[in-house]
Amino acid sequence: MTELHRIMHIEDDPSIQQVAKIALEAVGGFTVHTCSSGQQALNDYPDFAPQLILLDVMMPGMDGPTTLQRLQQQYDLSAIPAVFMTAKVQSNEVASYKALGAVDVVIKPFDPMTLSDQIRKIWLDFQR
Amino acid sequence: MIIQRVSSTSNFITWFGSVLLLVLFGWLGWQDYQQQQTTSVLQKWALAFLVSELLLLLLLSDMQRVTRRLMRELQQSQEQKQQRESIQNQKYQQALSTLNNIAASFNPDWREQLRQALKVAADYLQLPIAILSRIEDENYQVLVHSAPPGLLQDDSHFDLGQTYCSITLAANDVFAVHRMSASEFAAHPCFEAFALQSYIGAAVHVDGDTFGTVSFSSAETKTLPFSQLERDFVSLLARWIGSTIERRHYLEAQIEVAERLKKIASQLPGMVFQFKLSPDGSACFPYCSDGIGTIYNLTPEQVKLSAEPVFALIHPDDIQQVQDSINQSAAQLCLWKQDYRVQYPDGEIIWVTGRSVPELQSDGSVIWHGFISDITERKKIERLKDEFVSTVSHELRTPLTAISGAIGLLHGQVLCELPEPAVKMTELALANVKKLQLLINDLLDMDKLIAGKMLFDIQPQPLLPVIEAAVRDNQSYGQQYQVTYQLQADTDDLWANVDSMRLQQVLTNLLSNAAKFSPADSTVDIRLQRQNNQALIRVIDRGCGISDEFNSAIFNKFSQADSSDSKSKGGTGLGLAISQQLVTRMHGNIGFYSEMGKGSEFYILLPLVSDNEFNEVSL
Repeated sequence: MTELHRIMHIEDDPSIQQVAKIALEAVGGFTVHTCSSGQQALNDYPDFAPQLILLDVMMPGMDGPTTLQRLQQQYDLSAIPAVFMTAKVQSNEVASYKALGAVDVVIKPFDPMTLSDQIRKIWLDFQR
Repeated sequence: MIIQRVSSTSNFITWFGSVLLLVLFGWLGWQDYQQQQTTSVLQKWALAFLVSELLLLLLLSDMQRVTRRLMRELQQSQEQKQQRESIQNQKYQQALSTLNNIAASFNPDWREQLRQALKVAADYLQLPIAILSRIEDENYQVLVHSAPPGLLQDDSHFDLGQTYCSITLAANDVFAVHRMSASEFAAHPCFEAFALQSYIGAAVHVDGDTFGTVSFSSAETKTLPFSQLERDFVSLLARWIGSTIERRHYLEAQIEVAERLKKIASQLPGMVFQFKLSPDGSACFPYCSDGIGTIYNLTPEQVKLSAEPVFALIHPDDIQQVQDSINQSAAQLCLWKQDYRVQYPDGEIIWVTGRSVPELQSDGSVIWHGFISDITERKKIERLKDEFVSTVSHELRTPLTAISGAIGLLHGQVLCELPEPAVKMTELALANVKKLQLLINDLLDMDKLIAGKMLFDIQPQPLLPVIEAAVRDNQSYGQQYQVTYQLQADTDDLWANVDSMRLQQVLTNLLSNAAKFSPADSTVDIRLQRQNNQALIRVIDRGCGISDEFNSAIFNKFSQADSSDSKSKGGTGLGLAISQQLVTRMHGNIGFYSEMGKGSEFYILLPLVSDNEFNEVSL
């Protein structure tokens, strides 16, 4: 079983970028590459080669679902789980996000102390 | 006839008497001739017969003459009597037809109508001065008059004591004098002032009170005293005038009411209306204020007979709803209340709101009285407000996520060790961020519910697991207040159509409220029971209860018993409002019982899944 190291985080808000980076790197020990937009993610994807993609749903310009779609079109994401981050969701919304190709949803606001555990659990479930 | 009989009777007596006399004197003459045997005797008796016959004829003819005269006199007196009666009849007829003409006359100007009546009556009575007076205390006012030109004027005033009418009022009956100078009233100030010889008058009563008098007078003496007919005539006229004035008052009051309504209605920002639905399905607006122009761009006349022009303007998407609501209001005789759109021919659309109360009529039709106003502005503002709340909440959420994350990292001492007081501060900050998050979640929920954007995932499912999960999730919250939850279910087989997440949200709200308002070390009972074809979920606390003043407002938005409560207990004041909306959307009911100082019980009633549905589910 592969261990999770590299996470690509796609988020437009700089504050949340920083919080998530520290939460995942300092608490979880992952390596995080932050992208401020969907376009940047498309550009940076080959160089960084993430093992997991964490992306915000609501972003100006290209939103989360579109970004994921474009990534799937350009690259092979079959072994790369994508996780959406979004505000409090309704149960039927989770299903629709999963239909878009995400393996799970992390609810905002997230607890920075448990975010890494949450991601690790999703990774393990995906590996299985 | 009688005379003929008298003459034939006397003829008979003449003949019969003559024969009797002839026989009598013949027999006497024969007796005498038998004794004396001389013709002179016969002559003597013949002479006697002739004399007595003559006397008889004289007597009879005189009798006939006297009888004839008597008969003729009798006949004459009878004829005279008949003549008198017919004159009397004519007078009665004249009086009646005069009164009839007066009663049948109508003039929109009440003064002219009464003046006409006075003139006709004055002609009938042959007294040229006719006055209808208004009497208040000692003030005698000529209200309407009919008199030779230049003699009198309407609205002139006199002292009551100066008029004969003071006597009429005092007599409380028709007062009539045909020759004042020869009467006991010769010294009356009125006679001294105006020298009116003949007078007849009666009091006029309106609505049971003395109003004034109607009187007829002349400077001329009347040859004959006033007859009973003339008195009755004046009395009837006075009554007619009284009822005419009453009718006028009534009419004026009605006109005034209509005017008042029109004036008030014209100031209202909308249309006031009366809407009638007949049993045959036809509809119309018997009354409508001019405000219909601002709502439908129509005039009251255009809809007086048919409501069709109005229905033609209602937005096609709303017309069915409007018609259904009207039919429902008619069937149940309940308040009609509806918001809908009106679309003008040029395409412009406005929002209006209407409300009216139906009344069933004896002919089976229903009449509504109500009001419709333009709420386009309000709708716009409501939409702006909703959009504002929605935008603000979303915009608040992103920085809040960053704040809570940052403080969470500090508090988790990921970056460095914190001194004890700093940990306390980060804990405080985290708790408050949590509160803010809850508030925003509630606001967004409310926003979605109002906008009808909240999606429900309603599935038939057993209720007990949902309740157990809610109790489990809230256990730690209860511990903060040293409150324990105790769940007791009569049966574990109650199924209902619910969205489990939304039901949990409602239960969480009720459980956290119960914990917040319970004394320390108490229990909150949660019961699941069956009540007829409904499931009953009860949350019973032993807290302070809910005051009566707050009872009605408890499910309103942003309502909390008082501000000090919200400080000590926390919460947004949206919880119960949201819960009510959620339960309603799941076709259930939420309510409560409470007693001050003893505790409250909140309950949720949910319709159970029927056997048919249940079978489908099991299959």
